[in-house]
Amino acid sequence: MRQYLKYLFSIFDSQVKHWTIEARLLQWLTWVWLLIGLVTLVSASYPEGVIEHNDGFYSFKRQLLGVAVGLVGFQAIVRQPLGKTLKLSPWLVLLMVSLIFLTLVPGLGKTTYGASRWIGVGSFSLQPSELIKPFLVMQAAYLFAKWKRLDGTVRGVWLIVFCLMLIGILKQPNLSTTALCGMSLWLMAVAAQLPWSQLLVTAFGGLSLATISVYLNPYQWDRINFFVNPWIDPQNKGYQLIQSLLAIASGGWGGSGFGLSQQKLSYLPIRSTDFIFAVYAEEFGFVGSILLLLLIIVYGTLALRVAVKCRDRLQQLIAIGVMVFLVGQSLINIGVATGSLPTTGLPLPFFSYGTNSIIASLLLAALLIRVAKESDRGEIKDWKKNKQFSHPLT
Amino acid sequence: MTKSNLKRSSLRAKNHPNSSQFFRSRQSQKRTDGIEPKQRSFFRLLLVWGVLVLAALALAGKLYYLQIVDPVIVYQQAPKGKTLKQIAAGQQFTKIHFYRPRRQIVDRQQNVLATDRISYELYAHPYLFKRNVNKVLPEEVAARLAAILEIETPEKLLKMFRQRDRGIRVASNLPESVKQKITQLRIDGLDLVQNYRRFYPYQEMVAEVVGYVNRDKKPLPQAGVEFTQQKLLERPELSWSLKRSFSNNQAIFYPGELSQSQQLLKFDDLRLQLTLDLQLQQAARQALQDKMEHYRAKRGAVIVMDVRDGSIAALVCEPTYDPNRYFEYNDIGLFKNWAITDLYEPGSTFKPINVAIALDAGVIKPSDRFEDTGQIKVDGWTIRNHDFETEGARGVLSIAKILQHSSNVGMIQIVERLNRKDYYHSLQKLGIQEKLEFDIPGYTAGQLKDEVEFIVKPIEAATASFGQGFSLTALKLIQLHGAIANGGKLVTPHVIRGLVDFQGNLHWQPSLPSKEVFSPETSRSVLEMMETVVKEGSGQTARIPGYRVAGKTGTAQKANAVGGYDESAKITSFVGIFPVESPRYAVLAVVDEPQGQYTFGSTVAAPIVKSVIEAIIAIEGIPPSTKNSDP
Repeated sequence: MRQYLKYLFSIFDSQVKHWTIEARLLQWLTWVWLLIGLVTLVSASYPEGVIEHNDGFYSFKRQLLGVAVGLVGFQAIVRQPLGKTLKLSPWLVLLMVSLIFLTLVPGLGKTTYGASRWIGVGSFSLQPSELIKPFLVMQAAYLFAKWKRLDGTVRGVWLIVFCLMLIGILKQPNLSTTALCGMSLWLMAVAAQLPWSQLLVTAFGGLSLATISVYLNPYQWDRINFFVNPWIDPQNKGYQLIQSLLAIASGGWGGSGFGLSQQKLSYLPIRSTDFIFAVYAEEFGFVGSILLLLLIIVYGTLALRVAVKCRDRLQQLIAIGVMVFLVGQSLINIGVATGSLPTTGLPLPFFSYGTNSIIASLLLAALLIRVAKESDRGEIKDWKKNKQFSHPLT
Repeated sequence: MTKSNLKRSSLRAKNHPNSSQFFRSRQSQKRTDGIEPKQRSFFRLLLVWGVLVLAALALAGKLYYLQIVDPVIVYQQAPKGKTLKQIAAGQQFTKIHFYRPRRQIVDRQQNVLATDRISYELYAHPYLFKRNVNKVLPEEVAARLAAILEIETPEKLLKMFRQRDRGIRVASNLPESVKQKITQLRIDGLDLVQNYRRFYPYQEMVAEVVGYVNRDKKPLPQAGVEFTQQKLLERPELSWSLKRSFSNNQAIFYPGELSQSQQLLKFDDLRLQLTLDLQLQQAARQALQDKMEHYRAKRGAVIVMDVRDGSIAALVCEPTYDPNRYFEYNDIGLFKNWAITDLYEPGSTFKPINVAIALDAGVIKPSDRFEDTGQIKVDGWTIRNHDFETEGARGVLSIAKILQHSSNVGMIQIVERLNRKDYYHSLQKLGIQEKLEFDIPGYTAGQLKDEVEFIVKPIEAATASFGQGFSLTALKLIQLHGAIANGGKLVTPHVIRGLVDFQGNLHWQPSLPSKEVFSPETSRSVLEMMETVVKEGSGQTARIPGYRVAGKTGTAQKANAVGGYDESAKITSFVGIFPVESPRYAVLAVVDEPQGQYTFGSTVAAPIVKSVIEAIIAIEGIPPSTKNSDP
């Protein structure tokens, strides 16, 4: 049994004790994060599951399926040299970008809340804008790590691919994911020590693009408008945010206790996905919320430590990329729930219901852990042995 | 990472040679990439990390603000002056009110004297007048409503509709039947508001005892038992805080703790029972009203008290009011029970009490005789018997005879034997000046003359001997006669029997103290003397063949505003005790200011008492006395 379990959960793998301390800590933190997320999801989705599917665990079961798929990918990435995984990334990025454009084809994309972000596959749906995240991190790391040594055409082509991806996601429309991807890419570029002049020009371009999108999509303008003052229209446009604020405030110091959120029963909309943090904050209170923030920051700090230890610029950027995507996205989600940011549809990694999101988060975590494994001297040696195979694109 | 793994991955890498020339072209540059100035690299990494940490700190601050500070929301659309927690609780909880009717008041036979009843208020909103989307003219509404309401004319209703276009209170206190007729019209804009009203089925019959509850938003008792027994009668509205949520626009409630719902189950059916007997009350009122009408009297009162425990079986005060329409009376004096609130000089009805005091003091014996000279000089004042003009001096009289003829001169001689200080203290011991805790509000303590004045001036004791010069309430007087009837105990008069369930089982009753004021022998001999008053004396008008009735008449002059006595204004009274062999009831009738000739206690009040005693005999089925049954 143990020998099979180790393929899913690394804790059963005796090899783990040879890992670097960062890799082991990060793996543990990933499990803790995932566990808290799943537990919160059970509480948040149970009432609606009972009402809509006559099964309180409906969402949880589907989420577990996502976790299972994600763990397979997780193990694959953790167990094989990063170089091997990197070989796949350009192809997968290209695949996902084309899938993103497929969602825009009427009839193929599944439309929910006025946005077509999904492609239906049986009873599940594929959300390429989520799944692209780990591969985007790898590809961007590769691109920025070798920025000065790549020839202009290659840089240009990949930049165009990234831009196409951003435009594709924006067209769905999904401003939040676009902004997240854009900002993450930009922060990776900052870490990659690209010249500030180029960075600032890109930032300006991105902001202009966002402004145009907001101008073209009135719903995005509303969200920005109503996050500042949700009480202008408490029954309608400000409703989601107000309910989220009420839930969080109800938590007080210690929260109402697990499973006892009142707001999740009917008041708080999209409680098991975008606003799952509000349920968490109501049930576990200020103490629980601060502990979660602490977990996220410790996670980010470990990622930073891994990045600093990395000799290789590519690995370093992957670590930073994962940090930006997981930690950054978590903070944006919490920011939305607490009314600190405009309401957007970003999931909270490891918490929000969504198989695509959980798979993407697990793959991202796996990338970071793999980098952490390879960041110590021994692993670097290991990596050097295989360097001739390490990257298909070089 | 194991070696086999590495081998496998390298193999796979070989199996997938890079197809694109574009990808391959940069292979040579790969090795040189990783080496950069470490310092700069570290700064940039730290910068990115720092951005995230700052954001996290900001969020922690925001969470502290939301969860711990919990600010008051001040936007215009937000609920005023409430914090987020309060707003959340406001939407998550709802208050449910359970109306719990005020307890019923019933009489001794469980007749309902006061109860809560559903009634309706009709509001009209002319701007909404519609039937199935079609507009309805106010004229039509007015005509139809007038036909149902009967009390309003179509013109008057139409005028109301023209004055305002909404929120017109058309009628109130509408019964269920009228409500149904109005709803059958199916006209929008007619609003029926349900509320609970106190209803008094017997109208004015027991008003002076039961009192009334007003019809304000929060109904408050204003008089009678309703007022004094508020704590027993009121069942406070239950309100629950229930958790709720919504599903498909339907509210779902979470009943919550069991202890909360048990409050509802603890609902009891207890009613407040009075010692009154409705039938007797009706009979007493009828008798009183007849005489009052006959003598065009100002007001009157009848009290029937069970002498054994002080329970009041009937308490009638005329004039009175209908508690269902309390708001129609302008004279608020009607709402008080004057037999309890107003003092009067009892006159001759007090003479038996004085005889009892003297007997108890041992200054006279029942067999003593006194010379009645018809008139007597006391302290320079000449005092005559009421019948001095016609009878003159009656000569030597027994005490019983003094009572029979209601001889003032005889009474003065009896009281003269008492030490005036002792006499004064005896009057005080009877509690004339004390406040009596009674179940009907407004009891006024009686007044005696100042003690020094009473002791110094012989005239004070002389007038007190025939019941003038001090004042008390009718209730107090019957309490004192009760002591003569029951063997000397001063019982507590009361109208509350207690809380009973529908089967009549008593669940609570008030505690009623009593104290002895006369010896049993004294009270027995006074009672027998009083029996002779009815048999042979001034009380013959109260005689009932076959039954032994004791009594005493009283015709007192009313004190006027200037301190003297009003010649024309009299207050006539009669107190009866029955049956003498085993006294059960004391009956007092007081008629204030009867008009015309021959207005005495014997002519006005005694026949009332007689009627009341006859009613008691009929209601209770009391058999005639075996001994001395024939007068």
